[in-house]
Amino acid sequence: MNRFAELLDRLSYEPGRNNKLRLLTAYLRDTPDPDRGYALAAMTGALSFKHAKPALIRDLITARADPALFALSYDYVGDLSETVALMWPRSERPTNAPSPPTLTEVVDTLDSLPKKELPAQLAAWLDGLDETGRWALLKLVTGALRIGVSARLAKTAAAALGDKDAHEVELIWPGLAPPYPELFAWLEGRADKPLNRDPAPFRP
Amino acid sequence: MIRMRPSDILVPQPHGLYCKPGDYYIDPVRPVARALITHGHSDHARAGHGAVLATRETLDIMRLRYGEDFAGTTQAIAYGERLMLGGTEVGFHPAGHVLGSAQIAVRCGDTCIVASGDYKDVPDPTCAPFEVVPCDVFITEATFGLPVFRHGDAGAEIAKLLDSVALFPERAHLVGAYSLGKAQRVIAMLRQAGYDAPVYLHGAMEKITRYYESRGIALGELRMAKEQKKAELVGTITLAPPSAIQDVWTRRFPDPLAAFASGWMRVRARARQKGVELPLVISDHADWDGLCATIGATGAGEIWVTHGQEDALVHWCASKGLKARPLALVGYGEEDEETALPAQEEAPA
Repeated sequence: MNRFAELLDRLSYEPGRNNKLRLLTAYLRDTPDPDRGYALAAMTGALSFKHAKPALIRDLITARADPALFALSYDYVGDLSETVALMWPRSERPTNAPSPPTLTEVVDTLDSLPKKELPAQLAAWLDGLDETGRWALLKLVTGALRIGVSARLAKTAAAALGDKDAHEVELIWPGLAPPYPELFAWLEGRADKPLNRDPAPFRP
Repeated sequence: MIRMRPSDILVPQPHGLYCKPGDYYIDPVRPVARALITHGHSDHARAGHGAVLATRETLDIMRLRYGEDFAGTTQAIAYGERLMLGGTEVGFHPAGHVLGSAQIAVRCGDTCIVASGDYKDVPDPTCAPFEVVPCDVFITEATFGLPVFRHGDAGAEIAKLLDSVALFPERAHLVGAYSLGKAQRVIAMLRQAGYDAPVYLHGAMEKITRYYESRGIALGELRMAKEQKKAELVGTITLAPPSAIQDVWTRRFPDPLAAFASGWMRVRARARQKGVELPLVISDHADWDGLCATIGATGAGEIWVTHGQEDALVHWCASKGLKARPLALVGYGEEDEETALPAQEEAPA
C-alpha cells in the first residue's frame, strides 16, 4: 500500500504526460504481482467497492476528533479523503503491530468483508498507515482517484514495459481481469500474448 | 507586590503589541520609538524604528536586509540575559524558528507574559532549540493552527528530494524556500543526509546564506546558479525564493522540476495552486501537535493567539479549560510577499 500511495502522491502533482508515464512504468516494473495489477485496475476504473461511502468516512472521523475542529479543517482543505487522512489521530503503534496492508490485501478484504465489519477494518488500516497512505486508501475505497491519469495513459505505461504500443494492450484488454497476471507475463516476455476469447472481439 | 492584569501590561494596538509600563512595542508593523524584535523575517522586523532591541543575529539580519541605517539606535541582547525597561523586566529566549529568533518574556510585578513571535519545537541544525519558558500568559502564533497540519519528519522530506534527484537525473531540481532560515535549513539537512555535491543558490539567497556561514553554520560547497552554464546544472539542486520557481528565471535550467519546502505543502490544493511538482513538508513553524504541546508545557492559564488559524486554536484551548482569545493583529503572515522582491535582483539571462 505504501508504494502505491507514493505513486499516487507523485502522480497527483506531476503535470507532464511523459513524466507521469515514467512514474507509472517505473512502478509497474518494480512492483510484484498481484499488487501492480490491482494498481493498474484502480487507475483504469476496473475496481469498485460497494460498501465504502463518504458518509462512512465522515462517521469515522467525527467519532475520533472534535467535530468543530473537523468542520474548520474540512472547510480549509476542501477534500474529505485528504482532511481525514491528515487529521486522523496518531496512535502509538505497539512494536508488534501488523505491518501496513498491501494493496492486494486491501482489495481482497474489501471484496469479501460484510458491510457491518467495514468501519472497524478501515479504522485499523488507517491506524497503521502514514498520511499519504491514508489518503491513498481513502481515495481507493471511495472510488475516485482524481490524480490526472486516464485509463489510456495507464495502459500506455503498462505497454511500455514490453516496448509495445498501447493499441495492442487495448485490443486484448476486454478479455483480461484484475490483477492481469497474463498481461504482465506477456509484456515481460515470459509468455505468449493473451488471446482475446471474446466471440465478438473489440476492434477499434 | 501588586498583581497587574495581563491586559494592562500588553495591549494590541494598530502598530503592534504595546507594553504600557515599559513603553515599547513587540514586533511593531509600523515605525515606532522603541521596538523589541523577535526575529528577522520581514513581517516581524521592519525598518524605521527609533531604538531596536533584539538578538545580535536579528540585528545583523535586519542590517543586511535594510541597510546600515535601518533604525535610530540598536542594542543587542543575548539569550537568557535580562534587562529592565521601564517598569518591566524583559528576557530573550530561543524560539527555534530561524537564526537569532527569540521569544520575549515580559515580567511586570508577579506576572510573566511570553510573546513567542514565531517558533518551532523540532530540531533545526541552523538555530538554537526552542526553550519552554514557564509563564502566566503565552502569546502564540497559529500559522498552522488546524489539526490537518502535522509536519512529520523533515528528514523524510529531504530523502524524498534526494530520491527525486536520483529518479530524474537529467532534470534540475529547484527548491523554493524562504531566503531567511528555510533555505539554510534545507541545505544543512541535505548535508546531514550525506549529500555532498555543490548546492546552487539564487542570487537573492546569497547574502543571508553567507551570513549563516559566518556564524559558524557549515553548509558545504555553495555555488551561484547565475554563474553556471545550463548544461552544468543537470542533476543539481538549487535553492530559490518561492516566487522564482515559476519565474522566467527557471529557463536557465535544464527541464526544471519545481519543489517547495513549506508547511503549507501538507495541503495538496496549496501545492497545486503554486504549480509545485514536489512538495516538501518542512516548516519553520510549530505544527498543530507542536502548538498544543507547547501551550501545555508553558503552564500558562491564558493564551493569546496572534496570527494564522486562530479560531481552531482558540476552540482547542477552550476545550482544555484554558482562557484564550485571538489578538486580531494585522500585518503578520508568511514571508511570502517579501520574496517577490528579491527575485528581481537577478535578471533572467
